Amino acid sequence: MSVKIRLKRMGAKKAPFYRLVVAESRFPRDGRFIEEIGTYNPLKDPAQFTIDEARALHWLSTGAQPSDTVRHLFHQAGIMKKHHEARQSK
Amino acid sequence: MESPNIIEKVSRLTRLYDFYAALLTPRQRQMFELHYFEDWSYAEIGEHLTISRQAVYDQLARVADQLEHYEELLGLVFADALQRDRTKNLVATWAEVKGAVSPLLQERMEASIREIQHLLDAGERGDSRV
Repeated sequence: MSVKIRLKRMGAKKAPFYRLVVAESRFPRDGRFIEEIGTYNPLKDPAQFTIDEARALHWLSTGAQPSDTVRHLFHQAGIMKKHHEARQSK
Repeated sequence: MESPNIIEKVSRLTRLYDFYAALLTPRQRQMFELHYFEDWSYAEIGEHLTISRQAVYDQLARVADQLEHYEELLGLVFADALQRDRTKNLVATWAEVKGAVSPLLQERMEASIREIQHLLDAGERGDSRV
């Protein structure tokens, strides 16, 4: 079973709020996840993204796969770059 | 979800979905929510529903077209944004003139504004049928 980093929608209808969660790829839709490492609030202008960078880098280094959306957010926050640099310096 | 503006695309489509989900089939809603709420990939959804990745992609593209089409016809998302914007202006203007009217009129005006805001927020609470 692989580990994924996903952007999970919470919040009410018409008032979305997202959590960045680390989860097993085969977890069914029962809301279970291993760890929450950030949030994304699209209702703020500009949208507000918070991330525990150390945890994000830790999970990436263990081979956790970010979804396309999460990869995009990580990329914007400079986390993918740091991850690649850390890998190359090994 | 592969475009460079991936987050904008997610925001736009889920916004449309919040208004028009009831017009989709249960199957379409299931796929949409797995992809846009749970962030599953096309391949993962395909495996879960035992259909091909391509079928998932095609169906979700069709749902996106459908949602945009509903908005074109009904304009609920646009109207909602407009109402919120105008209400914000009203509240700002009211804050400026409030001091110039009697306490009784202040009370009535504020009750009216609360009613409007209550209407705007009604969709954000409760209503989770879809």
